[in-house]
Amino acid sequence: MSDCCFEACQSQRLPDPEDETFLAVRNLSVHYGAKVALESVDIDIQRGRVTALIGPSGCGKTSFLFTLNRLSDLIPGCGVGGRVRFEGTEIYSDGVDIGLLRANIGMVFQKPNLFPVSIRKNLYLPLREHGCPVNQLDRRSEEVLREVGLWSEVSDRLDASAHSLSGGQQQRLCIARALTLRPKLLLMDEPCSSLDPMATDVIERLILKMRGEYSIVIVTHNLAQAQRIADDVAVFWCHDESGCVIESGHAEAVFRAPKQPDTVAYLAGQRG
Amino acid sequence: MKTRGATRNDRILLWGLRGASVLASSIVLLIVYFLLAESLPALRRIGIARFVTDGDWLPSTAEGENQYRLVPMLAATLLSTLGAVLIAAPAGLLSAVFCHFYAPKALATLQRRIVELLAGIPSVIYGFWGLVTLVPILQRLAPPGQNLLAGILVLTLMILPTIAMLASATLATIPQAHLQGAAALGLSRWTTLRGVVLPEAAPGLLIALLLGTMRAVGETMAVLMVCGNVVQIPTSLFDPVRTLTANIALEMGYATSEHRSVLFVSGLALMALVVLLIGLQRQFRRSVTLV
Repeated sequence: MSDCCFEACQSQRLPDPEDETFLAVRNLSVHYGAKVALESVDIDIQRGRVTALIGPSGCGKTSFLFTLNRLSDLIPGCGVGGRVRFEGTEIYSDGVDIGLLRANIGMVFQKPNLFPVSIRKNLYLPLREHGCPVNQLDRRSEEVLREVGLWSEVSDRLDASAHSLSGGQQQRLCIARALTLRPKLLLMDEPCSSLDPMATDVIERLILKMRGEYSIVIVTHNLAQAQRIADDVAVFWCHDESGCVIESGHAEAVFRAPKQPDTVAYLAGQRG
Repeated sequence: MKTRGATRNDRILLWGLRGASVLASSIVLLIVYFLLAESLPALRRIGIARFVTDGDWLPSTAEGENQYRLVPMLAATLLSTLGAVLIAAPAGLLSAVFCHFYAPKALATLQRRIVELLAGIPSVIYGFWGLVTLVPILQRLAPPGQNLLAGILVLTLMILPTIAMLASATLATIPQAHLQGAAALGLSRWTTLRGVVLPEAAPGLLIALLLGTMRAVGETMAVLMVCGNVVQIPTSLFDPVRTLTANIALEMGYATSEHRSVLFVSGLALMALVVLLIGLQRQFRRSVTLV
């Protein structure tokens, strides 16, 4: 923990995580080759709550999200420093079962990324991979489709190509696909940015419905959306081209009485 | 709003494109017409049946009782192609998959360079290599060494890089988003390959196989150099054979009248084979993409 970064980023320092903390991030940094994308992030994510990551583009929100399920491993040249502790397990320690980690931490991407197979097969693939018994596949698929409100829309064409669905339906199917594994935490990277307002509304209501049962971390550029759905927020900001968290806490508190001048300006629409 | 100059350039481009596409398609039509026109005398006077029923390939006998049995040549072409595809297809596809999903980056790059180099080697060099290296080895197994197996092996080497390169290019077009999606679900590499990559890449992989197969069907020089060129239906891999292409290349220089026309018929047969392959691939692709 260097002083200079502390100065530059004005980020909050948190004490060592306690064992019961759901997800604790300490002094996290991300770099792509020589370029530092994110530095000294400290944050606690609470169980059963919706945490929104807000802030201008290019401040490391997506990079941050990708570190939580170690999808950053896939990006060439991407290095991660610091600690991420999920339900008492250091996810960057040796011997972590990454398949299991990603089954516990689901992810929904900016654009729907369904596989070029049928609706049914999109759901079967993760279920089969993680050992769902064959006679449970249909039941579990129906369950998650009902959870995301797609069942009535697709129950009669489960064998149609997943790409035949509308954008909003595709994104809900992506959420359903992530839910097949009953993840404890769901990461969402601007899940509504490619959708129209109607489809966005459906997804937002879905997120509110899932709150409590699932823990959700969602990246959004839409402040109004963050206000509608978030219990907690973390504000990402750029200093010297590298991102950091300048403020985090209960959504209401941050939106009503932001402490950092940059947050004040950002929320007022003057900066970022 | 378009300016005058832009509209004019657009028009020039449009006519240029039209011209190019007319040229491209008319060349194919011209070749087919030319093949048909040249083989028509033989088709009329000899008839298709005799290419099968004649007892032998004796195209220029002194007595004028020529025999035109094309079946052995057709069999040689089909068998050598089949053999080469059977070896090269799995090897090429697997090497592309290895390159993209398993190999360390440095090794993958090296492998790609080598495959590109292989694809660029002229066919006569392959034939040459086959003749001085492969044939002597086969000769020790079963003289004379110039046989169907030599043809299959040389063809395999020739179409392997074609298949590997095109398959690799197809795999490179798999959207990163799908691979990330698969990884985010904790899918293993094997499941990702089978459930995500293969359905996505199937049409492109089929094209890779098709182009590899067509290269094997049409290859002339290399098979001519290593196959032994005896006109016979092979009973084993060690029998010398003569492919349709080799037959044309060997005899076109001195063939006259009917004989010459029959050689064009064999060219037409090659063309038909290629059309058949394209048709099969279309049919197959439709059934694959429906899955």
